[in-house]
Amino acid sequence: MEHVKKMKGYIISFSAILLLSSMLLFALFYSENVQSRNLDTANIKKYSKLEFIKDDLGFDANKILGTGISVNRTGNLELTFNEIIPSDFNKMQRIVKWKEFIESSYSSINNAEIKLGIKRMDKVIPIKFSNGLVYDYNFDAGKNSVFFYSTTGNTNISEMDLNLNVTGSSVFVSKPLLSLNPDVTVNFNYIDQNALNEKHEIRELDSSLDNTITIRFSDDLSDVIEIHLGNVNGKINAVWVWNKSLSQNKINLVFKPVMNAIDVNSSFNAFLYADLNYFQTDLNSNDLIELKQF
Amino acid sequence: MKGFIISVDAVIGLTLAFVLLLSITGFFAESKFSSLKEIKLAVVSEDVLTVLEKSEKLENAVESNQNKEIGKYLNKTSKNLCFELNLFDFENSSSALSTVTKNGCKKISDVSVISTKRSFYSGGNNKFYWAELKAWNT
Repeated sequence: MEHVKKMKGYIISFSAILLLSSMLLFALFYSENVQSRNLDTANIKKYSKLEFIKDDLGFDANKILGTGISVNRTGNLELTFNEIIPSDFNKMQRIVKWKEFIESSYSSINNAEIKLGIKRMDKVIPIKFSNGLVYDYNFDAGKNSVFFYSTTGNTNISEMDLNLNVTGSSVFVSKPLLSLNPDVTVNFNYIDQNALNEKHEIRELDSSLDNTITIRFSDDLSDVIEIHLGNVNGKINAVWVWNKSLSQNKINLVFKPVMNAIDVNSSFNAFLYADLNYFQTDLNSNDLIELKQF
Repeated sequence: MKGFIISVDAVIGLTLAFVLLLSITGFFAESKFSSLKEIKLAVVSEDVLTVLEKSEKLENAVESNQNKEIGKYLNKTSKNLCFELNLFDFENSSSALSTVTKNGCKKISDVSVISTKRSFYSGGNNKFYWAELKAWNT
């Protein structure tokens, strides 16, 4: 009888231990599960916030630059740039102000350390495309210009629309010389306050030559808008529009190059060539500012 | 009699153990659910701010001192979500330039509020601003 009682006690104790152990194990499993889920959700929050900040600053960069870019990729690659080129306004001032704002107030409201590296943007604001094309907005010697070229050598432009609407009144508009071996078709449209100098012309040009169009606004030879098409500063098949005019002349430019044989991957992006460094606790990111994804 | 007491004891013990188990499960399930809810709310808030900036409603609001368009947009969002949007000037962010609250939304003290911020540039004013969107579930 005594032996049966002892046995009963053992069974009850063993059952209690088994029950408590299984509850403990269950609680531990759940606790780890929840911890790992909390870690996952914290990571989702961090990365989601980083992408949100990149998108925010990318959109702000587009607004600050004011360069409209659109792409048509049916068959050939067709880019369209909408730009305003004043004669003497320095866009770089806006970028510097933006950098100050990002590194102070913007970092502070986002509880992060955010830096904008603009060392490469001394006199030039470069927009780089993922296939090697570059669109530079230059401010040099107090004058603005835009320069479109390829880092791979040739932009492969086969035709382009170049539309300029200028606020000044020109006295003379030159035409580029006729080419013997033309390979680029240029549809050139020019309008300013002098209706006599309005131009609507289609020209066949040789992209290996520096084909120049000059628009003069006074007898002063430096009071001009210069357009270079073709071999410009060693870049093949490039385009350079330079507002050197002395008055407050503003160019409204719509430039649409069509390019053949350009390697366009499924993802085609445009970046501002400035480094965006983001630090928040254990998350570090260093990327160029993405302006557009096409 | 002894058997009856042991049985009652066992039933009480098992009930207690079961209640304890349910409490633990309930507690963890609740914490998991609330953090996912917060993420959903944060993602929706980010989307709302992105749409408001990219449709230029934020820029127009500071340039014209009118926030009607923002209010209209917030009123169209899902019924179970509440929003309050504040616009600030970066050079003087001590007080909001403008505040818009979605119709029918009142903040309750024990509801967790998600705050999301987005900057924007006004070309007309040549200035930087930021918008803070507070979001909570009804």
